[in-house]
Amino acid sequence: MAFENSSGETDLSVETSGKPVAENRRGFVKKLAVTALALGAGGLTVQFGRFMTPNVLYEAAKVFKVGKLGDFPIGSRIVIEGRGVEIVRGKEGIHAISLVCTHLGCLVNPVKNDPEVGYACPCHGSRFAPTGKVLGGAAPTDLPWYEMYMDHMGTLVVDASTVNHKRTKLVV
Amino acid sequence: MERAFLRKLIALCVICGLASFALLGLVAFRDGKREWKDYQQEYQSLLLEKIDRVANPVFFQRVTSMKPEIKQVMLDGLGRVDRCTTCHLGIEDSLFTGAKQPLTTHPDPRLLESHPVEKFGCTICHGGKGLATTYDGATHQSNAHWPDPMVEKGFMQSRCGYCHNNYAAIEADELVLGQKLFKDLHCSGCHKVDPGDGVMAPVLTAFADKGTGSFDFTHIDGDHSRQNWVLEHFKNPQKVTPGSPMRIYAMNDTQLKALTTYVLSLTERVFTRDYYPNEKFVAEE
Amino acid sequence: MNKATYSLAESIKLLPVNIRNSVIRRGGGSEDQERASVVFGNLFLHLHPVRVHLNTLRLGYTLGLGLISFYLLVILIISGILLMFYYIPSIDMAYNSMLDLEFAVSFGVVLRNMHRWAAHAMVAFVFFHMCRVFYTASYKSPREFNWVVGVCLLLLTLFLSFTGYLLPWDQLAFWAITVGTNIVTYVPWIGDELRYLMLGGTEVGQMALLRFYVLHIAVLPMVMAALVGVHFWRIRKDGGLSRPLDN
Repeated sequence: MAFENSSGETDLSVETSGKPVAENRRGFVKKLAVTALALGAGGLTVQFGRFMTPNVLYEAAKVFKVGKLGDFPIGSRIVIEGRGVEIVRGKEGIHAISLVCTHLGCLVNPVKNDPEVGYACPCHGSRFAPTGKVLGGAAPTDLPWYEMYMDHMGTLVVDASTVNHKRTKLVV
Repeated sequence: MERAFLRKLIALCVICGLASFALLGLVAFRDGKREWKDYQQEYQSLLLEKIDRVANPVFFQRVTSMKPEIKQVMLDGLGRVDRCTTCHLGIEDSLFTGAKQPLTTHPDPRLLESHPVEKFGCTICHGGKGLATTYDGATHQSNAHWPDPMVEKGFMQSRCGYCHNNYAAIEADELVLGQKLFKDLHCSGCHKVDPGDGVMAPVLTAFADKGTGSFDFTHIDGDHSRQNWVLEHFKNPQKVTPGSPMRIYAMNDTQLKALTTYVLSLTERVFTRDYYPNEKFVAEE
Repeated sequence: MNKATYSLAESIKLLPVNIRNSVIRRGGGSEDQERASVVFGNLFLHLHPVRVHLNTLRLGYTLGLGLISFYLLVILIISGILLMFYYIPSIDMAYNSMLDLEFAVSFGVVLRNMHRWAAHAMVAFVFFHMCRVFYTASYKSPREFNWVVGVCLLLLTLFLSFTGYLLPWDQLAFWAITVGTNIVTYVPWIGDELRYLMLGGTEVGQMALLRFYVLHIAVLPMVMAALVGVHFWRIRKDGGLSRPLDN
């Protein structure tokens, strides 16, 4: 029930008048304004973040098809050109291993017919076991495996954006 | 008086502020809604129904955790980027042969086997605006104002001629017939295609590279697309280009279509060597 | 020795207050002086006048056209800077990067459209503002110099609009600039030289795009910001926004 008293101020109630009630309203409006400001600033930051994160990259796709199962006979090791990945198929399953040396990024050479050394880097002499485990040389860590799966059409796909830490082979 | 005015001003300020706030929120909301997100959702739910969770749990998991994203293929050799697969998700997926557009599979799977989407994209054969992610943006209509609008269904063979020379080898019957008609009707007597041809009439060496805007549709009855212009031009050159000395060459519909297809395959665009069939570089025996 | 020396514990307790006093400086004196000093001591706030005549707030006198023009400029600067993160000023990529903004960037459509609309609106409102100043005779003494600054701002606005028009590198852009730079050749004696300088060559190509880009995003906005500062400063110093006299 609001009406103006003699000094021109609007009172909220008949009984009390003056500062305490007006203060409450001012406090509420202030809180409202601060909340709106916080929401606005927060929302702006979030949307700015969405604007700045690219939705498309002009880079080669990290998830790529490598072929059908028939293209990789048991016991084969086949390098996928242009991707720095080798597909190794054994009796237990198939896996994709990165050929990017963990030292400074050269592409390692697959070494055939050597039970100990699977990959040797021509740049600074790093050597890796057939599983990718680092044997010696300049490289600090093992060659990572990438996630691999078979889609519903029977095509094998490598997901180079996800590292296969557990080193589980794909069983198909 | 003063105080009332100030109060009105403050009220106006507050209202405008809240209105802007609401509008900005609306902008953020609407920007998140994209045409392709709906199609991707539909594809995901349809695919989940079709695949077996037990047979391939890894793949099933991947499909369940699919997030909406723009999909593109970068084709440096063709100088383009195609985002068609953002909506046309089932194009290489044989499980979607019966689905409705845009999820349906490509009609001729043999074509996709020899021209996989990863290497060729879509616009090199179909035309359209590869960078777009909406129906209208991608210029799905053949009469759109774009240098390379979508090719109409009956004239798809015209794009085979962009890279292929040996039409018979690829079973492009329309091109074979069109090329034969072009030769039999002596078109190159006036219209130059190869060195040594006549120059009385417009040169056709790069005819397929002309966009919709380069054609005059004033006297065209039907669709304002390139394919239709060429068809109507053959039916009556003097009507379509008044003052033209070209006479009407009596042809039936099949012949008209074949000749149109052939003429629309004449391009001067070049791509990198790995995109051409071997026949182009190896001389015929 | 200063009486304001504290022990370590006291210093830490008083840290919030001390920091606040360091950031927001308050002067001494009477209550009015103290309130004024909060404004004077702050870089952002001191741009505002401490007092404003009531008539200045009356929309009917100035229609707020100058303020709207300035606000449009702010919108243009912010949306422009954001667009710069995705636009590529090369003739191969300019149109494609614009398409990317339209289809593949979150809020790309909104920002690009806002930029375009604000640009057209600013040209219109700057013109209306000039009309208002003229019809209220607010160019008379002591505001003559501010009128000149205003005209310079108008020319800057038009040139910013012109340079920005080329950036999408579509048919509209190319031909508009072709026509515009051909008009420049009609300037007596130095017309052709001027066109050569503007385009960085004889034709509208990569160099022209690059020159227009640099002008549009760096040179012209900086000059505009400086002149806008002068424009506002002169308003303050000339006695505030022109308004009818008090009764």
